[in-house]
Amino acid sequence: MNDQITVKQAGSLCAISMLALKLVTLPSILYQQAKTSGLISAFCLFLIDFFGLFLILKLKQKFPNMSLYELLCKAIGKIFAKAIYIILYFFLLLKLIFIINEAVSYTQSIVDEEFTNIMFLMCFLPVISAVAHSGLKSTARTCEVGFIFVIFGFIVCLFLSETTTSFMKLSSIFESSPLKILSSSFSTSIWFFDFLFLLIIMDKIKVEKNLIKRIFNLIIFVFIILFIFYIIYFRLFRNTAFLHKNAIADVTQYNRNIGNVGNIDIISILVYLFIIYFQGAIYMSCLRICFEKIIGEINPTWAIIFADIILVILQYFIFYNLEITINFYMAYFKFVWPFLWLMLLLLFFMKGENKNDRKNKSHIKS
Amino acid sequence: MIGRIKAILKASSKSLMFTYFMIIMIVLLPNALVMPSQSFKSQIITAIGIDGTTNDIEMSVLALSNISKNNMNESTKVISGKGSTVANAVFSIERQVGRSLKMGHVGYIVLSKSLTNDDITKILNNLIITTKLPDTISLVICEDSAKSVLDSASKLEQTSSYKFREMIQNEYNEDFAQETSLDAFLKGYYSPNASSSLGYVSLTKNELLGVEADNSSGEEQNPDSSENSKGNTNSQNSSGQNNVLEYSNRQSVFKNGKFRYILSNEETEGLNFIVENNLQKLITINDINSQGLIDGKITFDVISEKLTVSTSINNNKPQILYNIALKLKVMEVISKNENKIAEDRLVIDDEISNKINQYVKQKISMLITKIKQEKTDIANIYNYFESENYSKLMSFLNTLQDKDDYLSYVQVKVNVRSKLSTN
Amino acid sequence: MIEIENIKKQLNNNPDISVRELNVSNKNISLVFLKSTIDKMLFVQSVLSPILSHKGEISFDILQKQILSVIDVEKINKNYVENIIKNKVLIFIEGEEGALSIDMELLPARQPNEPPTSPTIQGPREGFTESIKTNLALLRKQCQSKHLVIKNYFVGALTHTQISVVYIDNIADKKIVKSIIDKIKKINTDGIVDSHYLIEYLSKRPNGLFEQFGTNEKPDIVTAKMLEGRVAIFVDGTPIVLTVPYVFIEDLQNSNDYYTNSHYATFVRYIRSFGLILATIVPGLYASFRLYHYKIVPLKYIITINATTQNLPFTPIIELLFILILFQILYEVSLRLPRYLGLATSIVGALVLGDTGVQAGLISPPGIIIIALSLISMYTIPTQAPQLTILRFVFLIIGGTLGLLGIVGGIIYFVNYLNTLNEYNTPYLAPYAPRIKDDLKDALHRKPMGEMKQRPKSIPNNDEIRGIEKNNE
Repeated sequence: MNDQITVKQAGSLCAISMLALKLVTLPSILYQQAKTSGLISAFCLFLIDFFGLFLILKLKQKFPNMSLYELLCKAIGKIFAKAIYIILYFFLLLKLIFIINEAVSYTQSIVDEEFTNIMFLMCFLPVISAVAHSGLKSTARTCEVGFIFVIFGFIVCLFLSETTTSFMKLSSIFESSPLKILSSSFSTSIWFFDFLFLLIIMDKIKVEKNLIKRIFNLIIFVFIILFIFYIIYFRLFRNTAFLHKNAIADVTQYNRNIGNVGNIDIISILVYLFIIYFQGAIYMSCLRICFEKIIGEINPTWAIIFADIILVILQYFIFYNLEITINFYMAYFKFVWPFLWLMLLLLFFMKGENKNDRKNKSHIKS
Repeated sequence: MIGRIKAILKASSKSLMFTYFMIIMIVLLPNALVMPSQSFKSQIITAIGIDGTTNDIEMSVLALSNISKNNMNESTKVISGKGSTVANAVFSIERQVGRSLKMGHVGYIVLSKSLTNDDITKILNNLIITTKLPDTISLVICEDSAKSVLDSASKLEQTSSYKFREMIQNEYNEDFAQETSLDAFLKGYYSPNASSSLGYVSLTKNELLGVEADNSSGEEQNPDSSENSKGNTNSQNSSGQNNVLEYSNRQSVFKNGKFRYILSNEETEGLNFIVENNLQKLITINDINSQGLIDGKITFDVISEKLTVSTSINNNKPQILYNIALKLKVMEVISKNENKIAEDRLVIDDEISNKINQYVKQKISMLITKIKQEKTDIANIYNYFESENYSKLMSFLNTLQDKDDYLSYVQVKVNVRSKLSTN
Repeated sequence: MIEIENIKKQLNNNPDISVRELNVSNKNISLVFLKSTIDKMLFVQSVLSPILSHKGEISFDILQKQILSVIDVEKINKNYVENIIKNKVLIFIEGEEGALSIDMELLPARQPNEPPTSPTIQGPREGFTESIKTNLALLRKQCQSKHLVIKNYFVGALTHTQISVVYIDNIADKKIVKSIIDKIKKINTDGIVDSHYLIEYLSKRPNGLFEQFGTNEKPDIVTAKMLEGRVAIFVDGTPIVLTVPYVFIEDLQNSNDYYTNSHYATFVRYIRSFGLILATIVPGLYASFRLYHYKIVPLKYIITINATTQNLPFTPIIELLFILILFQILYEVSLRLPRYLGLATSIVGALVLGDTGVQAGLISPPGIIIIALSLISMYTIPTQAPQLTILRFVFLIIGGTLGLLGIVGGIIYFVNYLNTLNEYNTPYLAPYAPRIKDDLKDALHRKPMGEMKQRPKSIPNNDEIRGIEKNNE
């Protein structure tokens, strides 16, 4: 099946991934860790992410028709390639669990107090599984269609936050020491690393001109509005940031000039819900691809069902609470990401593709 | 049998989502079909009042109720419950009404002054963290009983178009110098100085001061509203019960969550000038003898105020400068002589300008003196220094024995420029 | 003659089979035809009279070249019955093999009036009829190009329905044409009565919810679509012409849009897309807000809704389903009821539902408003009305059981489902997914005609640039 996606679609996938985990708990955690200097932590982590994205896109340009699996097989052999895919598989799973937990917490606070984990999974998992099952092309098209509405809605949310008297002056962004900033960057790194999924679907991006420029244009635009969002959040809440763990909802609610209508929460709720569904579908597609590479030729339905079962088990028995998830990730993820970076750099410094590689590629079977 | 099951599984595997949808329908739809509306299943609360002491809470809520199909007015009942904590009091109320309380539409919380001797965040803890009330809800302190304030507010809403919630929630025109919301209170509480201010309301008999909650001059009363005020709706005036809600711009100041003092009118006026708000301000100056006036008294309305604040710390001496640019409109001119100058021909000459400057500076000075005395930084002076001179501020604070005392070292300068509006 | 006896026997000796025996120049001539389906006047003037007045030798050749004053005449040696049931007149001459087949068809047909499904305020008002010949003539009138190709096929073992595949040779994609023709040739059925029967044979997903064939009743619309590279399929006996490939955005477009100001057309298209959302999602949203999400609804709306829904015997979902089913019944009744009874039914329906039901406390005004709004909005896109009806029910159930999260999930699922539809190599949601910049000039937004210099890239075609007639070499 021709499951190729265009550069524009790849860009919208990246942009949605950028937004998914950054709208709820991250601003609160950043402020608690490093106060206003949390903006510097976030900025540094964004830069690191962008550099990672740049490496991935350069890798794509260097090996336009090779998948990550083929590259890894060439670099380190089949067994280690599968091992790395297993690590990536669990990385994506844990990210997806994080999204689910954040979304459950958000839904319970903002949308419906009586909403349970199970209800959320009943709504969420079948849809993202169905979308992932239909193939990467349709998933990417769906994200491409929804992306514009999501961005527009997000910008409206920013304008809905009160912009007059309640803003406090932002204190110096060098409020915290460099050590604290560094430590907060390490602790909050799980909220980033959004573009790693692109490695898995690298071979499915069509080779078009200005690949890097077009994707980066979109990413930088999203980065700017996200950063504005963080600045608004910090100015609005500051010392009470630890109480406002649903950043997008809290920022939007903070407008008392609506008058007759009341709060227009619905916009921020819809924006967030759409983003998590899209992101869930993207990760589920990547999980399916990973599984197929690890196990071999398999019906995509089984790959997705397996991922669903693992997700439910992990989410229900181990990571059943957002606090537990956050504590676990903040404690342990900082040891994982250097390893992921190493892998990226290793791949980047591999020799470029030549004609012989294109012939040999067909012999590498998963 | 097994063959049949296999056939069904095979058919359903062709369209898993359709199968899932059918399962959802079979499992969840029957329950959904018989589920009543959430607003009927639970009790929506529009206001909370808390009386009592820290360990003996009496909580009153305004519960939304609909009397008749054609009545689109918000009609509410006051329901009270007691408990050792807010959570217990909520539970007691839920048992009384037989439904769970839903606080998503709470507009305001009224706390009785009796609770403010102790840190009120302990009382609000449940409401802030567990219930997750929206930030923008108003929080006010009342002189006597929060329950009676709620009762009066309920009657006011049923018998007139005034909504107490709208009056204190700054929806159309701000009434308190500073935002009197839960979030503003917490921002002050968690700031380095731990100071915050809240609006102050009271119930009086004095009809001149506020809004009468219950018009007992023969207008049709809502019969249900009388149930919870123990049968004294119609005869409140004669029985001596307070029924006038008075909340004219009084601010109570808190430190570490405990009540400290109430700002006087002059101090509140001073606060109005040095915080950014949309409050209507009037400036009245006396003894004007220029422009044909004899002992003239002029009242100006401040159309707009542009406030610029700059800070500096030199040789560990913090200084804050308020540049206030006022655009004024003449409201009233009173003079002892009959041939006084008309309002529209008045200009701001040196005398008037000096008087205005004096007026403003005096009010500000009174406020600054008070907050320095009480070490309550409700004018966000720390915030200004922190944003512009963070490192110098930290070094300055390190030199102090009592860091909370920084206000007393701050030199405040005020620069006022005023001009008449051309409209 | 023996052949004639065989013919009559094969046609069950039906009373409308006529055999006219003549004797000219000492030869017996038999004319066999279905008297209900031929033009009798033309038959007498152009066939019978000339034969009867002929003196001299007579043969098929002489008949064809010297005697008969008709346009279509053909010598056949077999398939006599098939020709007769195709409303032709057969002439047999004793002693000669074969017969002459003459087209003298005159079937009852209506005028090409404005179709009720595509009214225009300013624009052409001719519409197709049930006669394929008339339809092809109307098309020829619109599209006078030498590149217009018409290919006829006969489908249906019993109905022998004529199907014409029409396209513009230098524009349409040959693969699509070939694919359609191959599928038509494979159809094995008793009969095709309407073009919608054909859809289910030509579609990759006959069970799908969304149809991927355009249906049109006006020659100007079909011509415009063919000019963009589409293939038109005419079916005898129905005024509905199919066009393929088909994209979802065509539902939001209307011929009126091209006969009016482009800004107004853009505005109206956005209204239609808003109507689409109202039609499908609003009842489900209303149900979910009432059942699960009181927090999202502003307090003043809760008060109003509570005041009007208090003491109703029905729960929100049952109330909405009840109103929905009632409205649906009314709709079905209005379709089938004779016109002179329609007014009475409308009044009864309006009174029963609108007034009495509310006063009796069975249903609430907000419920009626929501469902009425949804039903009315559905007709901004009449071609998708059946699909939207089903989706409305689906979203109502999802909203009532799973709340807002379910509705969002449902929207994403259905949008994704639409994205998987790729009939004839055309993405269903083009030009939005995938985003094709040039095609956006005539999507929701309509640019002036002069700016649309290229044909849509989402529809496969052989000639991207409009205007220049290229020879197909």
